[in-house]
Amino acid sequence: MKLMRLVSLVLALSLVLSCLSIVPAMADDAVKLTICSPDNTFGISTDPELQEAVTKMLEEACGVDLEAIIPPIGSYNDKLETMMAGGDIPDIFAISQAMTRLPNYVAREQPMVLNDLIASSEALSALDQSYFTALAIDGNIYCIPYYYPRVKCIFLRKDIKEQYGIQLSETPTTAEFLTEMGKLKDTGIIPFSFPKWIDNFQYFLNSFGAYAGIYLNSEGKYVDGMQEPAMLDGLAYLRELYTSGVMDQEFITTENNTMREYVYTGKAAADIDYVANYSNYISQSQAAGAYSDVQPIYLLTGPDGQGGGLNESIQTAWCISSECKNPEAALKVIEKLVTDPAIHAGFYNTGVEGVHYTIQDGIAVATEKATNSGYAIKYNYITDSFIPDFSSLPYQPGEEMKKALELQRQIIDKGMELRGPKQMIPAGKSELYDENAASITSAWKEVISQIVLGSVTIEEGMNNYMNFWNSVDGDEILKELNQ
Amino acid sequence: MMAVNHKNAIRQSGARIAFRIFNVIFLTLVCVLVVIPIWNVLVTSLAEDKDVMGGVYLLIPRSFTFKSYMRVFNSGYMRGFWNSLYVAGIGTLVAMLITVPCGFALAQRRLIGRGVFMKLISLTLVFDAGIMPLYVLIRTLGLIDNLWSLILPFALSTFNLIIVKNFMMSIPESFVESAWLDGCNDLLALVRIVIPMSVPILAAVTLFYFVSFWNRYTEAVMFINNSSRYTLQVMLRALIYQSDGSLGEGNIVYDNTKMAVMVLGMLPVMIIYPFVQRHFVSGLMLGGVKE
Repeated sequence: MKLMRLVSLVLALSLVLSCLSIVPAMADDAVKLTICSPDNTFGISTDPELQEAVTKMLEEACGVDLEAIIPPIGSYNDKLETMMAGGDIPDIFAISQAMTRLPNYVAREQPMVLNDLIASSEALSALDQSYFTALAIDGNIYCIPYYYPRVKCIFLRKDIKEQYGIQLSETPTTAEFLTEMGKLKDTGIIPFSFPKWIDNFQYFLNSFGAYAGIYLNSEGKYVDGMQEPAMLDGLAYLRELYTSGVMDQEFITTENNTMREYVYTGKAAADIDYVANYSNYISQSQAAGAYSDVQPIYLLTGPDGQGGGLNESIQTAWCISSECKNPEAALKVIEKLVTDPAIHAGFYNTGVEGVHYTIQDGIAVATEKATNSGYAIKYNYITDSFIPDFSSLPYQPGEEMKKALELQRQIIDKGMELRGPKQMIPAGKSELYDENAASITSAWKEVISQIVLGSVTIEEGMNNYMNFWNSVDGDEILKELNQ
Repeated sequence: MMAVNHKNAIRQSGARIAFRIFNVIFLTLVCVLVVIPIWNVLVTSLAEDKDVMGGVYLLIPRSFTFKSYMRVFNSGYMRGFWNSLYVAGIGTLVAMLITVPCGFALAQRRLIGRGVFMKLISLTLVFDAGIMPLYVLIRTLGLIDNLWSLILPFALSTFNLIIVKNFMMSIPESFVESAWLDGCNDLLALVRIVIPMSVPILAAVTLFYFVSFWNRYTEAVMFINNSSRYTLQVMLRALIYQSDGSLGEGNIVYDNTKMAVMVLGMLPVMIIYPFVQRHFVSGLMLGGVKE
């Protein structure tokens, strides 16, 4: 009898406890989601308090409870991939270098197919669908981009151009570029500053119809760009750029920000950068006390009239995890981020009023706390995003910035028009390719950098590449891709 | 004969003087090489914004301002600093509380299976499972997004354990035995006899642990989700990468602010080092001796 009473008591207690545990869940009925994005979002600040304010803004706008994971951009891919491998994939996550990473993630069944969800969203359906389909794999859309494809051009300081009589149009020939920039030799100014990222050489390879990596040629056949005859001409030109002293002799250790600072300060005459960064050159050269406007050089026309800006296509986009329990709620969050002017501007650039900035006479002024963490008001969202109109925001850029942004808009349009090719190999077409894609990329990067720096001749470099190609059974890869 | 000896003595001292001069020059050069980067960090952190633009490597100050430090002290980086201090402080304490008794136990020749324990422990010096198994372990323990995930898995360093054990083995057993005769148990013998005699090695190992906890980066990124729990090293790296703006969206943060955060990152170790320096070298030398 005593035992029965004890059992009843335990049961009753457990019932009460289970009811109690339901109470907070009922009170807090907002859908819980995890969102993972690098720290160049969430109001572009590394200060946790400022990031929390942006998360709160997003929660209120979407009516969800968000757990934000904001790793440093330099370790973002490692963190995301560790979470994926550990079974902790966030409900919503941003992917960077989407063209190379997405096929891999799809092969691992991490992102959800979004075709039906996008179709159900009025705001997302209204956008140009070609931006979604650009990253589609076998007709399936796995990610939602939030800005136009990235394009790079050469920016040339106008003051140096005029001072040294450099005659270059916005689409000069490769020979003109070499000759005219050569006028800066022995002046103490670096004619053309270049970053250590070898992928940027594609800008020059476009002028010769060459493409680094495997691509689908005009006949609809997959070929290896490194083995095409055009590559030899492209490499010879790159080598000449370097030996002639036009290209920065220390480019192999130059970071992007250092390259930009060289041009801001007038230490270098030109560099290669995103068309959407035009306004930075205006504001930062002013901050450096060396103000100058810059001229874009969208492409270099090669001997056969070919050429194109550096097309980096869609670099970052949003995915929903295939394990997400509430894909509709997750899509709503992405929809707000991509199409709502206030949320988009706040998340990608300006942050939250009263925390990141205050408004004075219709102009946003950064708070002291935000400035201390490296935050600065940036208006790139006006020219980068799919949202056509930000006039509803209570703050607007100043007159000078407005003018620079208008020019930036024109530069972006022209850059988009004159951009070169960018190819994506679908995942699952060749298992051998999927296994070796990363090593093929690093092999051509290594060989190209060795050739440009002169540690090997073009012939030796190509032999080294062929040795690598044979070691990964490259011909078999092409055969599988072409089947 | 005397003259010959005298001549030899002069020749020897000449060689000695030359060797000493060489030593002084060589060590000065080494010191300069070590000091130059630190000096550059300090000078840059104290410079105005416009003086650090354009990838300059400042060795001679162009301007002097505490503006960068004021920015850093009033920014979110301070939270990272306190998190780092918490992890390094508590981590070192926990690590010492584990390492010292373990070292003492393994130094006892009467410990059954001592050889097996040592072999198993030494295995971890050679083989490292990598981040994934550790991530899965941390997740299973429910420690993801908890600062203890940066403490517990690293609370015992095999290298530190071995040098502590070797040092304790060099203490004559008669000291411990006499403590037993006086009525001490193992714990009291450790606290009253062995630890006071092991100050040099404990100072060195404390510094090793502190530096290793203070500098931990990868694990902090992998195991911590909430950015308010990030350590200073994560925030510093974030600052450097973010301002690179490789995707064109980053902030423009000048080198003076980055260097001021770096100075903040160096500060605790620079403060602690002089206090343990006296014991540091002797501790290392003694730890390497096996009786």
